[in-house]
Amino acid sequence: MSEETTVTPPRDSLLRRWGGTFTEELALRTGDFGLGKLPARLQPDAVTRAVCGFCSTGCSLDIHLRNGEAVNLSPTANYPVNLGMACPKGWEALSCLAASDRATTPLLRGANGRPRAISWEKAMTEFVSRLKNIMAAHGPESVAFLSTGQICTEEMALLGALWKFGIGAVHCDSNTRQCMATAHVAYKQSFGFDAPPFTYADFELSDTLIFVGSNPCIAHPIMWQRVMRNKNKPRIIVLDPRRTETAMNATQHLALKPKSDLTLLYAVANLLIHNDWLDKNYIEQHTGNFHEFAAFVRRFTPDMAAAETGLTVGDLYHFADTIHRGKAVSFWWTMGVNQSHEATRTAQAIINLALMTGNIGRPGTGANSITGQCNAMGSRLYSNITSLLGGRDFLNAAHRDQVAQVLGVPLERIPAQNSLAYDEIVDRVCDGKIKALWVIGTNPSHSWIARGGPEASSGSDQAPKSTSRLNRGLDRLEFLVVQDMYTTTETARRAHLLLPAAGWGEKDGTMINSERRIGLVKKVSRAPGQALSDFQILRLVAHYWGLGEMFAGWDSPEAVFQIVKRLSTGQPCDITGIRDYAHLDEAGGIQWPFPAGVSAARDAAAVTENSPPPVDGAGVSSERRLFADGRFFHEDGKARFYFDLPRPVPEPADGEYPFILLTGRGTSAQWHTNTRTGKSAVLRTLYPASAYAEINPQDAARLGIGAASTVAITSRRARIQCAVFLTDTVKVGQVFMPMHYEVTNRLTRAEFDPHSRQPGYKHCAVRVEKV
Amino acid sequence: MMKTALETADLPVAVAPRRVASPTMPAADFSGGYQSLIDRFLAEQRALTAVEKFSRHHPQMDAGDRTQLYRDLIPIRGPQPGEQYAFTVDLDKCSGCKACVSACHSLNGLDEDEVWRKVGLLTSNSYASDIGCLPDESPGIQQHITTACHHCVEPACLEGCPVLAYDKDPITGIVRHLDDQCIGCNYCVMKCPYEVPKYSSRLGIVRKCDMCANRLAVGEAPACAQACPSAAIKITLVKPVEVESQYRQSNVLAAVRNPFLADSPDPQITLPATRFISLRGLRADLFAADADHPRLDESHWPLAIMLLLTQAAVGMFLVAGIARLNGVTDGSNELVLAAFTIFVAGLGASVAHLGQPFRAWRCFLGWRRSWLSREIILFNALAAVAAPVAVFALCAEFHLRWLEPLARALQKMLAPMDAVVVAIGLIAVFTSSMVYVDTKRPFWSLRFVAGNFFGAGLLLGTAFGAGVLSWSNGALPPARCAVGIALAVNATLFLWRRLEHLAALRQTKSPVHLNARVVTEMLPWALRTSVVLFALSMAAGVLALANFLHAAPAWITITALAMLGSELVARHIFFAASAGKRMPGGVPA
Repeated sequence: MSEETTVTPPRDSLLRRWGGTFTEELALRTGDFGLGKLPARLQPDAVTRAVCGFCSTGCSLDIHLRNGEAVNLSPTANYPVNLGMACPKGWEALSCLAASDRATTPLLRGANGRPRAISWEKAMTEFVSRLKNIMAAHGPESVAFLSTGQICTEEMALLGALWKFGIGAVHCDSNTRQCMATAHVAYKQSFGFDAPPFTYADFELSDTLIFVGSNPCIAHPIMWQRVMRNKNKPRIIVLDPRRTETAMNATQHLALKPKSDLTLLYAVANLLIHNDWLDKNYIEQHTGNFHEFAAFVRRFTPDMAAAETGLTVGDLYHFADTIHRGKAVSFWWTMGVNQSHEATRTAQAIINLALMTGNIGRPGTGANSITGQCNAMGSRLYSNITSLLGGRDFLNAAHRDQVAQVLGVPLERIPAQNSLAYDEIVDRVCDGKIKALWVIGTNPSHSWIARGGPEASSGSDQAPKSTSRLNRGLDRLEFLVVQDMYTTTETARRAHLLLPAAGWGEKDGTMINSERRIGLVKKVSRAPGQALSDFQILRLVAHYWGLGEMFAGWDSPEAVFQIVKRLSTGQPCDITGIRDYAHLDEAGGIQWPFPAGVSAARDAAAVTENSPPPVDGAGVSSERRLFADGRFFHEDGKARFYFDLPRPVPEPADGEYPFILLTGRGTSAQWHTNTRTGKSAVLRTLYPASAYAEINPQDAARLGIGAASTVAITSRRARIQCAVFLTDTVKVGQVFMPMHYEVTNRLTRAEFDPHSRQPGYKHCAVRVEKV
Repeated sequence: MMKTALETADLPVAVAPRRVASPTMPAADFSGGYQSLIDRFLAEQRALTAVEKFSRHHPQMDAGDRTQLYRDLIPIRGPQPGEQYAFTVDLDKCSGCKACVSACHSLNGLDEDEVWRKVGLLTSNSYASDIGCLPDESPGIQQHITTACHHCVEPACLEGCPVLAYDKDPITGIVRHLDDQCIGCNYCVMKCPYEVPKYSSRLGIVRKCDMCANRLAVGEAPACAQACPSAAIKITLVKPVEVESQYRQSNVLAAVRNPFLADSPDPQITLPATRFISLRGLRADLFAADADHPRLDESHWPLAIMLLLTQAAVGMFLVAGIARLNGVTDGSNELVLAAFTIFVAGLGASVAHLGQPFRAWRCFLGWRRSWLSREIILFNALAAVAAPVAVFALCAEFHLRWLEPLARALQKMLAPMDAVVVAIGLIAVFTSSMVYVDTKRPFWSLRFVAGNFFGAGLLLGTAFGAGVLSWSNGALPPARCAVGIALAVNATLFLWRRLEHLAALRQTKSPVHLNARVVTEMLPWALRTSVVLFALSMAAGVLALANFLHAAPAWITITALAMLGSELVARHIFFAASAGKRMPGGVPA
C-alpha cells in the first residue's frame, strides 16, 4: 500500500477536536504476536491457543491473555482446521463466561422449595448419601446420569469409569444420543468401528460434494469455508426439503419430500448398478455383501422413487450421473439424516453409495458424517456409555479384560451389560423406576423430544410446574442433581441439588473434532465463585463416595489423558504416539490414529513457528483420512452393506394436521438450547429473540396470515404460539422452526431410530392457525 | 457482574473459598492438615496456568501468516484522485454466518452490546411479488446481506452534523466520526438511512465504522474482511463520479428496481459507495425479512417538548404582536413574557437531548450544510431579539423604575421589533421543519412536517394567547377571538391528520403505509387519546365562546391544556412512527 494513504489527522483546534480521550478508547495498536492491530486497551501480554468449545469443527482460537487471564481472542491463522476464521460463537466464546446467572456455589432446594447456597462439603455429603440410599433401597438400576458432548474427553472418561466401575451404577447416556448416535452405529456396522474417515482437506479436494440433510453454511460455517476454497469448481448436490443457504449454493438442489431420503438413495444406488457405474474392483476387494444389496435395491425403480420423493426421474438420473462422472466424490451428512425414524439405514445408504463407487480412502472422497458437538467424538470413544472405554464393547469379554488390565480395576467391576438409551432412561424416570438422575452439562427440559403440554410460567427460583411428560418425570424424581455453568437453564431450575461447573476456557482437557483431531482446551479464565471444573467435581464425588484410592491415578486431566492413551492401545483410535498435552499444542492438534512409532504429525500447514522442522519419512501429514489401503475394521477387512426397507413416516400430514413440521438450526449465532449463546449481547443481535416459524407465503395467504402475524402451531402433543417468517424457501405444506426456542420441542413427536435410538426431531404433523 | 452468592452462603468455617491461590500449589495434602481437598480444588481452579504450562509455545509469532489471509481482499495501491475506498460484498459468497459482525466487535474493542455491522436477509415471496414467478418455476431464494457504513459519496451524517464531527477523508473517502467533537445530538442517527451511527449512552456520543482506516493505512484488511470465512467482503477502489451517475441518472427502471440493493433505502439520498455484487444475479423482487413489519422509532421526548414549546412561543409572539397592533394593551405584556418563558423552557429541553451538552457551543459550525445548525442559530437569534421585547414587557408589567429609560427607548421600536421577532420565529420554525424534511424520510414530507409545526404554532399560540389574555382584565373579547381561531385550526389539524392517516392506511403502495400501520397497530392509545382530547378541547372551546357560566377564562384554559395534550400526542406519533426504509433486517421475532 502506498504511503499517501497513511491516515494523518489534522491538528486539533479549538473548534474541531480530532483526538482526545474518546478517540483513544478505540485506538488500535500493533502488538507482539503477529495478530495485527488490536484494541490498545486489550493488548495481550501473552497468547495461547485452545480449541473452541461449541461445535465439532474444532477451530483453534488464539486467546489473548493479560496477566494470564483471557481478555480477547481471535481465530488461529495457521491451524489446519479453521485457517484463521471462526464463526460468531467462537468469536464470542469468552463473553458467554461472564454472565450474571452463572452458578457460583452449590445450591440445595430446601423444604420451602427455594434453592439455598451450601458448601461443597455439604453438597458432596448430600449427593453421596442420597444416591447411596436410593441405590441401597432400589438397586443399582434406580439411578442414572445424562451427560453431554460439551465436556473434555478426560472428564467423560472419569465420569463413565466412576459411574460404572466405581459407583456400580448401570444406566447412563449423553446428549450425543440426540446428535451422533446414528453415525456411531452406522459406521460401527458398516466399517467395523466408529471411524469417520475424512479430513477437512477433502472439502477442498472433491470435484463433487453431496450434502444430505446438512446445512454447513449455518451449522458448520468453517467447514463451508473449506468448500468455498475448493478450486475444482465442484458440483454440489444438496438433499434438503428446504432451500437452505447451502442449497442456494448447490448446482443441483433436490428438494425432496421430508424423510424420503432413504428411498432416493436406494433408487440412485439402483441407477448406478443399472448403468454399471460402479467401481467393481473396489467392491470385489473391499466390501462384503454387495450382491445382496444389489438385489435389494432393484425394487427402487426411478418411477417409484420419483413418486415417493416428489422429484422427477430426470432429477434422479442427474444425481446418479453426477456421482458417476465425479473423480472425487464426497458424501456429507448431518442431522437431517441422523435425527430420523430410519436414520441408521439412511446413513448407511450414503455409505453404500461411497463404497460401490469406490469413493472412499482417496483425497476428496468419503462417506462423511459431520459431527455436532465439540466433543461428541470424544464421547463416542471414551465416555464409557454405549461403548466400553476406547470404542470397545461391554458385551465382549476380551474387551472387558483389556480395560480391567489397563485401569487395574477388578474385572467384576466392569459391567457385562449395556446401559439403557436416553429415551429408555426418560421412560423409566417417568415410570418412577429411576429415582435419582444426575444431569451434566445438558438441558433436556428444553431439548428433549415431544415434551408436549404447556408449561405454567414460573417465578425465577421456584421449580416450574409442568404438564409435559419429561418434566413431570423430572419433578417426580426423588433426587435430581444438575451440574451446569448456569442456574437458569430449564433443567437447572428443577434441580434438587445444583453443582456449579466451570465451563470451556476455565479448565484444561482435550476434545476430538469431526475429523478425529484431538485438540486442547485450556484454563484461561477464572470460574466465578466456587464453581469447579467437571473434572474436579467428579474427583470430589469419587473421594466422598470412598473411591479415592481407585481413582488416585486420575488426579489431573493430563494424567487421565495418559490413561486414555493406554486405553486406545491396539484400537483403531490408537493415540499412543502422542506424547502429552505439549505435543498436541506444538503439533496444532493430532488426528487419530497416531500409534506409537509415528514420529511426528505435521506438515507445512500445521507447523507452529518454533517447532522443529518436519521429520522426513516417518512424519505423517497433519490432514489424514482413513482407509487409504481399503482395509476396514471388520475381521475380514471388508466393509458391509446395510439396508432395510424404508418405513412410512410415523406421523404423515392429514386433514387435521395438514403441515409437516421440520426443525433445525436457526442461525450460526445460536447453539442448541441457547444456554451459552444467549449470554452474549453481540450474539443476541444476530438471531431473533423469540420463536418463529417459517411458512410458505402461499400457505400464509390461504390462512390469512400476514408478515407480522402471530400463529398458533398445534401438534398432537402441544399447542404453541410464535411469530412467522414468510418465505418461499419452505415448500407449501411445510413449516420450519429453529430448535433453539423452548417451545419447538413441545411439538415434536417421540420417534426413535431402532438401531441408534436417536430421536427423530425432523418430522411431525402440525396445524397452523392465525391467532 | 458475577453473583456473589458466596457471601450469602452459610459456609462451614473449614471452607475458606476466598483464599488466594498461588499458581504452584503444593502436592495433595490429605494428612489432616488445615487444607481440605475442597480447598485445594478451589485454589487450583482459581490458578491460571496456561501461560506457565505452555509458555515455551508462546513465542513472538510471525506476522506473515495473517496477512496472507487477506492479501487479495484489499487493493494493491491506495486511491488516486477521483477514487475512494469502498466495501464490495460478493453476495454469492456470503452464506450468512455473521462472523463479520463479531469480528468487527472484538477486533475494534467495541462495548459489550455495540455492533457496527449487521447482517440482514432478503427472501423471495412469490405470493407478494409483482414480478416474481410462480414457485413451481423458481425455487425460493434467501440471500444474507452484510452491511456496515457505506462511506457515502454524499454522507448524510456529515451533512447534518451541527458541529462538524464527521470528516470525509479527501484521499481515502472514508467517512470518519470525531468522537471528541460529537455532542451526542443524534441527528446523524436520524439522517443516515442505513442506521450506521450508533449512540452510546455510556459515552453520550455516537460511534461508527471507519472501515478500519488505521488498519488499511498499514496494509491490513478491515476486521470484517479479515474474518469472513468466504472472503465475501473486499475493499475496492470506486470512482465517486461513477457512483453518482449510476444512481442519479434518470432511469425508469430504477423506479422499479433499486440499483443499490433490493428493498433498501433510495441510494440517491447519500450515494453509498458500497457495492453488492452477484454473478448469479440478485432478483429485484426480493423482500427484506423484516419488510411489512411496523417498527417504532425513538420517541425523542426532549425534542418533542422543545419543538412544541418553541413553536407555541412563536405563535404567542404572533398573537401578542397582532393584539398590540390592534391596540389591545391589557394582557399583551403578560403574553410576551409567557411566550418568552415558554421559549426559554423549550431551549432548555433541547439541551436535555444532548449527550455532551458542554461541547454544544460549537453547534454553529455546521451552518453551511446542516439544517440543525441553522435551526440552533435561528433560535439563538430569536432569543436575542425577543429578549429586549421581554425586558420591555417586564418593565411595563412590574413598573421597574430602574429599567424605565431602557423601556422608553424601546417603546418607539416596539412594533418593528415585534415584527422582527415574529419573522425570525417563523423562519426558525421553518428551519425546525427542514431539520426533519432533510432526513428524506417519506413520513417527514415538507407538507407533513410544516403542517404539523406551523399548525401547532398557530394552534398553541392562539390557545395559550387566549388563555393569558383571558385572565387579564378586559381582554376577554380578543381572547375569545383567539379561541375561535384556535378551534378552527384544531378542527383542521385533526381532520387533516386523520385523513392523511386513513389514506396511507388504505394505500398499501403508499411510501408512508407502514408508518400509518405503526400508528394503528403500535400506538392505538395515541389515536384514542387524541380523539378524547380533541373532543374535550372542542367542547370546552365552544363553552368558552359562549362564556358558559361566565367562566370563559376557565374554559379557555381547559381548551388550551387539552390542545397542548393532543399536540404532545401528535408529536409523539411524529417521532415514534417516523421510521423510513433501512437496510434489510433479520427475521423479526
